[in-house]
Amino acid sequence: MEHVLSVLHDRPEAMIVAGATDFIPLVRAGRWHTRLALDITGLDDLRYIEPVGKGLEIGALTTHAELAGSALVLHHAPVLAEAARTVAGPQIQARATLGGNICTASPAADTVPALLVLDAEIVLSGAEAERRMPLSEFLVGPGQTALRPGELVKSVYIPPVPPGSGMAFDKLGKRKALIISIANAAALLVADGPCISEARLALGAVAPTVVRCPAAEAFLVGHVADESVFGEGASRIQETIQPIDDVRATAAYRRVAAEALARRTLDRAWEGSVR
Amino acid sequence: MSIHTIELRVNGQPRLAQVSGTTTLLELLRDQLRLTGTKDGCSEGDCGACTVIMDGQAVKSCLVLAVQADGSDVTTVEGLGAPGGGPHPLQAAFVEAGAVQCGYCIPGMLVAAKALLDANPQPSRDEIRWALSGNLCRCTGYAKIITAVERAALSLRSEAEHSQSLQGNDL
Repeated sequence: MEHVLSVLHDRPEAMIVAGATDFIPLVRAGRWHTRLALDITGLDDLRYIEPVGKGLEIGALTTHAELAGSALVLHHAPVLAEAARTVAGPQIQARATLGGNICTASPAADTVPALLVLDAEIVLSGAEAERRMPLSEFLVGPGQTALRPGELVKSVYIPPVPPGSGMAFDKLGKRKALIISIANAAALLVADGPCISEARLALGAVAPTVVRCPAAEAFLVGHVADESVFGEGASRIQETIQPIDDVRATAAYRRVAAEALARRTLDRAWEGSVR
Repeated sequence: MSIHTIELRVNGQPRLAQVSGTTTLLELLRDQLRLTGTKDGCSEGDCGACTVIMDGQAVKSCLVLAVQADGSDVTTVEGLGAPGGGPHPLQAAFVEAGAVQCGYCIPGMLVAAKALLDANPQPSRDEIRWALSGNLCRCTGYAKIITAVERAALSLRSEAEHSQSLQGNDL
């Protein structure tokens, strides 16, 4: 790790390569350019899932397959396991890393909505210091992060999840495997009897970054949960999202699809909550 | 361009190779080691024809840099049947079930299925579908492929039971 950081310090222009499942096709297609790539997959000390207090710390090189199969993740943050299992297909999940999914900073990244409803923080290592920030601040725009030259993502920290939370992830694509999401969604709900006491909702592929939906969340809290409340809450995402037309779908279609995904994940998160 | 020397095991044999930093494992296998059973379908991770087993896991060799395979243990479709022996039970089952039409996707299907059966000798049809979900076939529609994997699992299990009972007799 020290060696990698010192190389990055001396050659800050180096592009960090982990699972390479984005790197290889994007470089070959001429969409990413680099003269120097630094493969960090040999850094086994960045491949771990560990409880920290009542939270969870996940090393940046943890693969999607490891996330999907981890008893710790399934227990503390099942929404992350659920999202990881929908990325591409089994062969890619065996190589693609959590840190890579975050740093590619695709607005359609599937693990990111799950991480945002978990209030995840990102831990960054540099030659001089370590710093951390909310993941929502780290993701700046399509393909853009707050990573500074010479830094690398060390881990993701998931703070303690409110007891009894229910959570769910869903994505929409033309088929189940090997697709980039047209839209994706994650929800986390906490119940106080029949009422919603806390609500978190995140949507992907409908804005320059994956976004939390504050208007929808604020509406949901305090309401008695039922189908119409979830429908009304989901409709409030329209205030937050800014979808665009692209090769996968039109903006208009994304507005309809994202609202349906929001409603569906809220409903499933509620079913999973302890009342 | 920098050149790296790597060492890996391919189908049980130690191999030494010199590769550039951008050479993929697929290019190493096909172009340098002449193991052309592994197919290059799309070169971008979508089709699964280039699937190999790397350290026990099915991976797409077009999405692995050759340097990342340094020190690893790789099995390609050539490593399935015993050398000079008959076909692997998966290969026999694919033939028997009529799971092959044009054949281009089949090495990837076989290898992905091998990785599944190594980890899970008794998969359900859904588990087989999941394990093959990263592999595209444009001919058969998958049903016969899934049936073939199911049959291969059965014959591998009865083979294992048979050899266990033989070992029991020895005692």
